[in-house]
Amino acid sequence: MNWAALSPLTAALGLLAVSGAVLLLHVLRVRLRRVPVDTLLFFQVAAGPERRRTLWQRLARWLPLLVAWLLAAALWNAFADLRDARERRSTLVVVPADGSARLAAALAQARELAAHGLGPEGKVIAAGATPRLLWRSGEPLRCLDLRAADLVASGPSHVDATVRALRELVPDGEVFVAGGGPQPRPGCLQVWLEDGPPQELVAALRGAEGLACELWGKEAIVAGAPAAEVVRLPLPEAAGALELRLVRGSEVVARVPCPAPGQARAVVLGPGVPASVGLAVRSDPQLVLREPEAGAAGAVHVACEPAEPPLPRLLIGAGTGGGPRTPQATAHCPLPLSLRDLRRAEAPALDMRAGEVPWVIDAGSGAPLVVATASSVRIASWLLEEEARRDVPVLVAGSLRWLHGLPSVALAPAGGGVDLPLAPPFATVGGLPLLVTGAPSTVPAGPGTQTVRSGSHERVVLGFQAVAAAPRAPAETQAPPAPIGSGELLPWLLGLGLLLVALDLFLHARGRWP
Amino acid sequence: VTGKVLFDGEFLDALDALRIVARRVPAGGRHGEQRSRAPGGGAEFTDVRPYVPGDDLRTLDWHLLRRLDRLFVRLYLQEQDLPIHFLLDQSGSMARAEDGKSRARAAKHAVAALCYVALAQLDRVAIWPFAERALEPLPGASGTHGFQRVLAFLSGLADDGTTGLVEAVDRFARRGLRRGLCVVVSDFFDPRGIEPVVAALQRVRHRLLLVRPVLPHEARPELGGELELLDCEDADRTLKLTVDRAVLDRHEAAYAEFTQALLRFARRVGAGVWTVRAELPVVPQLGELFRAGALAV
Repeated sequence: MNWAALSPLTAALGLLAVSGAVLLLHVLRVRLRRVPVDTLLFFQVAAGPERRRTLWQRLARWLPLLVAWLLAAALWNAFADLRDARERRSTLVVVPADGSARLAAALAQARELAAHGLGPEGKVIAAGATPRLLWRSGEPLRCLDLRAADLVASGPSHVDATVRALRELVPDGEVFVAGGGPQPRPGCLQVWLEDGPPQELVAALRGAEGLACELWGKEAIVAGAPAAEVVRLPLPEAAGALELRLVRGSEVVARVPCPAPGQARAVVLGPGVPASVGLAVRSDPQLVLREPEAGAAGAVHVACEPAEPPLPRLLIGAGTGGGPRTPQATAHCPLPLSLRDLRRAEAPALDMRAGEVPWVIDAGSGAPLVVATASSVRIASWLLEEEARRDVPVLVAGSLRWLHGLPSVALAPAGGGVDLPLAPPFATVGGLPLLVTGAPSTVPAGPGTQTVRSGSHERVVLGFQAVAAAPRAPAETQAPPAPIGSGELLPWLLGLGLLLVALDLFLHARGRWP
Repeated sequence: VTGKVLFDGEFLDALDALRIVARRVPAGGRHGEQRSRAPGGGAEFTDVRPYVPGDDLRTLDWHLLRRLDRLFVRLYLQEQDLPIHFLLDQSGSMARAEDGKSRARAAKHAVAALCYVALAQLDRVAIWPFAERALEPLPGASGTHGFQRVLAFLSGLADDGTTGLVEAVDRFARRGLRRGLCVVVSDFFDPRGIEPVVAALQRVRHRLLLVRPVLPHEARPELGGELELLDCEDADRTLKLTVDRAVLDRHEAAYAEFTQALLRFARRVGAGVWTVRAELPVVPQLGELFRAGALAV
């Protein structure tokens, strides 16, 4: 939590309250105790020059107030949830209860979302023939399980009507359709953006056969256009391309034709284009932002000439003393790469072949460790050994996403997860089997998650759902522990502070504390 | 303060053995046990002188007349009483108590004890209480029967007001009373300091005995922190002060200097000083004052 997430009013009220309490306690502390004495004769002699206090001495008496106030402000900043409860958006999860096989997946996804917290008015609603409340915030997750077990799913679901009704009932809330929901139209993205903490947006689109593109952005989209929906509409198949349309409310603010995977496009933004569009374009590795041309205004122009795709690179720092090497991602690297292992001295680098480009290189020697072509990736064999295996899934995931437009998924070494049939073009030097976990690392599957089989290739295409990147909570956690920053620790901290202040007052009154 | 509270039989016996011995007793007093310089009808022979008309014929020395054939009269030392005046401080500072023990209580006990000794040897006592002004005095009591009057008087005294020690001493000095012993019972805390008090005491023509009841922690009070100190005699006199160890050290030093100033004055004028610890019984502390059973003034 930081001050950037502060509502000014909340911050002012919170600090005012804290300051008032601190000031009151300080006044109580500095209030002079009236003590009758036999005579002032000796105290007047003893006081001597101290009776004429200097300005600094007068100020020094108020120095503890300043220190106390700073401590309180620091505690407030560090632990308090600076967002007002009314400002916290609630999430309404709609489970389509239409009797299809995806009901179980939808319930599991709803349960996982509920475990992360859905906000003060969050609910899980089954959208069957009659909408039914399955869970609400504050209830243990076991209630959701019990009610879901009694859920009789049959007949058509009214997800669309339910979503519309919920949007009207909770206009500030976020409506999430678990496990399917309204099927996105072909080539159409719906991203519900949430104000608040930084979040990672991962969206992918499966359009016409052979055409897939991704929107991979950061919180800049959220900060710039909190109420906008990012929609990708399909173009006619004859067009052979997809279009990214940014809509704010009912107004289309920009159109960006999306390139096919592996095909970069140069994009020129006019001066009237919202900054969020520019940030979105920058965040897309397949779009290259160009300087605006003269005369271009208020629109997004996409140059037709293909641009050199900015290949992501990973620079492995030299490290010191043989210690862990610090990875450093280049500006165009879209992956949160992390190479934590030690590079062994005898680790061989790859020999570059024709058509290959280095994808991961050793910053110290410049030796390529992972090379890629448009259709394959080669990884140095030692990276696949046990000591280095922790980093391999990240590399492979990046390769998959880069080459096949697959969404960011977490790969894990053998021993856990779900088998992922790798496409034939993908090869690992050494032939070690790799597994992919069933769930993405940070992005739960949203509506529209589907598996697309293209020939012998099978792709997992996620729906478009914006959620905050948060660590996965234990599945069986009924009541998640109060996280730092939730504000739930504040009463205890204030109680501790009051206890300390009372002890300070007591010792001060007894003359045993300055 | 009653006789039962002050003394029991054992202590009365102990007090009976104490005496106040005056080195000089001014003439003009009543008959007492103090030996006066004035010749008179005492029992102790001192000298003879030639007879002059008008002398009491009963004092003629018949032996000298027969041997020398001249008239001489025998001179005897006259025994007179010693007037003892008590200036008793009844200000608010005397009334302040620690653990239920106050200077005023110790002062009354000391006055009562001294009065008992004085009255037992037929001396005359007078009590002049004062606060910021003179209070109703006990102008004189004599004889052993006068002790009950003293106790009743002490019981009726109230402790209140500010200290008017300088004015009280000056008033007493101006009274022109027969010289005797002046016992000043006070804490000697005057807002103007010790110098005016010493100057006023110097104007007293009586022999002086300074009785000073003290509380246990008055030299180094058990105080600390940010305080607003109130003079117990005058709430308008305050002092805001951060009392720490250094301040207490200086307070202790100032108190010691105050005490030394009082002792220096007493040595200079030949006055006695009796420091009465208020937390202890008074009668056992009389031993410090009556050395070898007598208090020579």
